[in-house]
Amino acid sequence: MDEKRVLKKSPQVVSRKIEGEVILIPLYKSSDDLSYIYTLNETAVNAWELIDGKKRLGQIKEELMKTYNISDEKLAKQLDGLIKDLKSIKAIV
Amino acid sequence: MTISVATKKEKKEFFKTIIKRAEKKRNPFSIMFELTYRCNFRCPHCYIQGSHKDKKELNTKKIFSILDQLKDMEVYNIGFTGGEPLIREDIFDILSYGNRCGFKFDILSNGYLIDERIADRLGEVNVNKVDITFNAITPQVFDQITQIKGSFKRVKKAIDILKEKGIQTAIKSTCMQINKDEITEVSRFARNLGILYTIDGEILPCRNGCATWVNRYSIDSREYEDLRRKVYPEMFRDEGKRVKTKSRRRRDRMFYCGVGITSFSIDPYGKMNFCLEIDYPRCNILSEGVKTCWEKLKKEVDRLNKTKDFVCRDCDLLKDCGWCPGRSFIETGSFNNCSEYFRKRALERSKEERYG
Ligand code: SF4
Repeated sequence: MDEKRVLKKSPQVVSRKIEGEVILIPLYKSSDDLSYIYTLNETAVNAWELIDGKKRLGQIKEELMKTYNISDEKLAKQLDGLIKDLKSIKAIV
Repeated sequence: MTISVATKKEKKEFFKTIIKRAEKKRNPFSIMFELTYRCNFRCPHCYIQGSHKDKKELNTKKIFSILDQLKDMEVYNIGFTGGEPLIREDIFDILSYGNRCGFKFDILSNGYLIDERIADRLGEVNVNKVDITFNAITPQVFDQITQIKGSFKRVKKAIDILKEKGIQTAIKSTCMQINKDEITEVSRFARNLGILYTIDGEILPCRNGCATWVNRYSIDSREYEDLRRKVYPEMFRDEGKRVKTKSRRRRDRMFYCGVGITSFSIDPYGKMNFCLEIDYPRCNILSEGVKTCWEKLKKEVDRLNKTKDFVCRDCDLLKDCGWCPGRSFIETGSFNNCSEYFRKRALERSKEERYG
């Protein structure tokens, strides 16, 4: 994980809370859009909220470590997974 | 702890669960927003006639503020309608804002103003679906209904353009004496294009209670049933006999739709109503906010549901009757009245039931 990396949310995707679920909504049409929806679980929401185009990945990781009892290594791995997923649906740039 | 990331879920199943949650908590999920009563067509059967008309429609800023409130209340679907919503000069500001808020929205339009440029813009603002009223397949009947010469040609072209640009489009017709012979052909047209087509068997009375068109141009339930068989043959294919949809009518409550459960409607002046059909209870969103109005509206629905002498409670025709309290209100000024129109239809339906 590149801790110096700064992530930015794509202006093409917004998140919305609907009936207890946080969903990612693309503001453009995609072929996937008709049949699928992307939801974030609670921890992913916290990470998502920390992505502001300013914080470095290392800072985001530190913030999350304050809330969750998890090893540095494990968290870095999970954050990597999250970023990969968010990138694949063009939610971050 | 797992950051279980962005989970790809099947949309249909996901929303089934979400809607159930919203119903249970009585949170608004799907609402209608009338952006204007202005229209470039003059369809005589339009229910908008006789609506309350204030001096000024909501301006862009006020609409944005309402959309913000709807977003906070976790509303997901919005149907923007009119009048003709595309007549508003700021329509694309509104739609674009709605898109940025993350709403899934449809536009209900007569299609007349949709050309290449407008269709492109609809695509840009990520409209979910354009729902076009298409009441006939011949220019004569179509233009006779809209009272605008050349309207058929333009609306048909609009449908072609939308389809070409891959924008989800649906068409719908109100079945009337004047167009009943064309409905099957309209459904064929839709099938050939591969777009959704729905028909409605009822002409709504105008909001001022005027039912001239209802009385003069309504088709009876047998005619409607025949049209349904032709338009939706697959629904009847396996049965070999008429498919009877289960009645949602209840003896213990007046309302059997989503009003006050997950839906309401907003008029062009910022008043919250039960639905598009009626101007009631006209809660003032501008002075009280969407949330307070919603709470008031729910209370009003609950009050009406508890009506002691509910007129349908002991009626034998209840399960065959498509009566709606809103319609009773328009026709008689009270939510709790039997309707001659619906009683007639219910009798027809129950006879058909008995004698096939
Ligand atoms: S026929 Fe009249 S009383 Fe009976 S269910 Fe219909 S509206 Fe109600």
